[in-house]
Amino acid sequence: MAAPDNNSQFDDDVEIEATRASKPWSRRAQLIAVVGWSSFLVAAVGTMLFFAFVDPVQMEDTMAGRSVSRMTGYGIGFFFFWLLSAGAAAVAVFMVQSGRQNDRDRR
Amino acid sequence: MDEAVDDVQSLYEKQTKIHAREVKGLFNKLRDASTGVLLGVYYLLPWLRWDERQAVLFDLPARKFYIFGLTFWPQDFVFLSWLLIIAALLLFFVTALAGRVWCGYACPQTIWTKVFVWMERLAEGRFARRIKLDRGPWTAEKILRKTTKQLLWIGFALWTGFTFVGYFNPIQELTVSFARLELGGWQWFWIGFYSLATYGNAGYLREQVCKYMCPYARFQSAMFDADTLIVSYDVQRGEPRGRRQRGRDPVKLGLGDCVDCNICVQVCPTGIDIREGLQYECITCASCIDACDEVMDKMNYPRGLIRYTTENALEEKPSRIARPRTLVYATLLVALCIGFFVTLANRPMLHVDVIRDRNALYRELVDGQIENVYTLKILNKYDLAYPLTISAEGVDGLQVDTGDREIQIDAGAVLNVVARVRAQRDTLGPGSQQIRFRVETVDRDKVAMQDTRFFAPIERVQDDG
Repeated sequence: MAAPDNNSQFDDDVEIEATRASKPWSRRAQLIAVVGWSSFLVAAVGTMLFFAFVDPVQMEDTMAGRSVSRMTGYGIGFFFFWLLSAGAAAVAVFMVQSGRQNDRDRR
Repeated sequence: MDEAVDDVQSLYEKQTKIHAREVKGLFNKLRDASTGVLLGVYYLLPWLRWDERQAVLFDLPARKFYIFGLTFWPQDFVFLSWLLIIAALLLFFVTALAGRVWCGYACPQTIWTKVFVWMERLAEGRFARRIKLDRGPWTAEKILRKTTKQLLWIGFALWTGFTFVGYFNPIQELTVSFARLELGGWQWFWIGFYSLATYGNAGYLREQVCKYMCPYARFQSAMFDADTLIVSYDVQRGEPRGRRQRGRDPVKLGLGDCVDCNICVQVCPTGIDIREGLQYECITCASCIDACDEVMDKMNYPRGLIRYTTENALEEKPSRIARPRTLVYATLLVALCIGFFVTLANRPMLHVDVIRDRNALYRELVDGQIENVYTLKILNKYDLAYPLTISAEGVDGLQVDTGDREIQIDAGAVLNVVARVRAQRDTLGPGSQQIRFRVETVDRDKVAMQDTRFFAPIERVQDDG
């Protein structure tokens, strides 16, 4: 938090909406957030697209005879897509990160 | 320097203390207003009724979306994607014109953060007091204030999650089940999931989401040009910055209008210094404008040292609203909107999907005819029931057998019909050919068509010879 430094005299005069979180995120935290969030967005779009054309109730044949309710189908579908896209994003991040590291090492 | 600071200090301490609400500037009021309106819509919309049902309901369990008078089916998916394209283009257009107003005034992240900050202030007091509280020991007061904050946050987050699920399940029934603790597993789960997301995002992550996680923040500058509205510090007027006593002529001191009070930095939710120029972290919340105007008023300087302006205006060139970029966006937007509503008004209300029998491509009947079996999924989006006739064309003498039963489809219903289609062998070419199903209301007023393949033996079977 921006500590009350030599300007603290303003704090009571001008309302400050100090919404700032305590400190900048570490690189690792940033990467986790980026992987999680970007894959979430992709999973949301993927789920929407997929279930616009596929009704979970009619997937019985492909699910080895097990029938699932629609809500269960959507739920599982969403987390499946999330996991899948998070995997892709994580691999991408890993490749980019490790590649850059190598470049730096060589120099 | 110390003296200067003291001067400033004494200068400001003479001021009567101003209440938070009264000092809030124009843009803060605007953001309060947009927060109120948008949250109001979010929390109240599911409760709105229309024709005996929820006005806006994305009924996922039933695979039907109700939006006021309209009902959408999975077959209408194109409209949803179309709408998303319109929304994206609208965002581009607004960004080109007015910069990141989305971020500052309408983004859910900003809106809910604002509410959570407000609740925090309610429970823990204002900025300086909050810091003192955080650093101090765990007194009874601290525990009380922290607990109050958490209760407010959790309660609000739960209400948010509940409302969210209320867009997908009838909210009145949901309320009853919720009160009786009889919700389904997935309903509990999604309420919890969305509540937790709200709590974490608005309570803790806040503008870090904008800085580290938001894709729009990274690509919005592609829509920017020299005429885009931005929040900017007037370098010409402000520099050289420096502290000074009120009433002393800055010109004689060789100073610009910036008193270097640093308040613009302190109020910035993303922690940037706007005086260093436009940065991608800036979400144009305009807090720095309000704060700086406040200081300018106290110094008796004109407002607007930090203000909404354009790059061109800062260079004293005229700013244009109509320019190729905005005109192209606007034209596309209007065209897409017109197309959307025209298509929506003319969307097919009777719909048929044809699914081939999976077990056999064709059957040869004893009388020498070739038969293919299909399942027709007929969808009636009308609010009336209709008797239907089903026919097929594309091969001479094609006959459709749907059994003896009269086919009648209910209002807003899906009907599966098994159709056996037969043709004389000599009318068919080898392999498969295209045929077309026609599903018509008996009065022939409404029709749905769907093409499919009709299979026959590949070798033309030699008849008796």
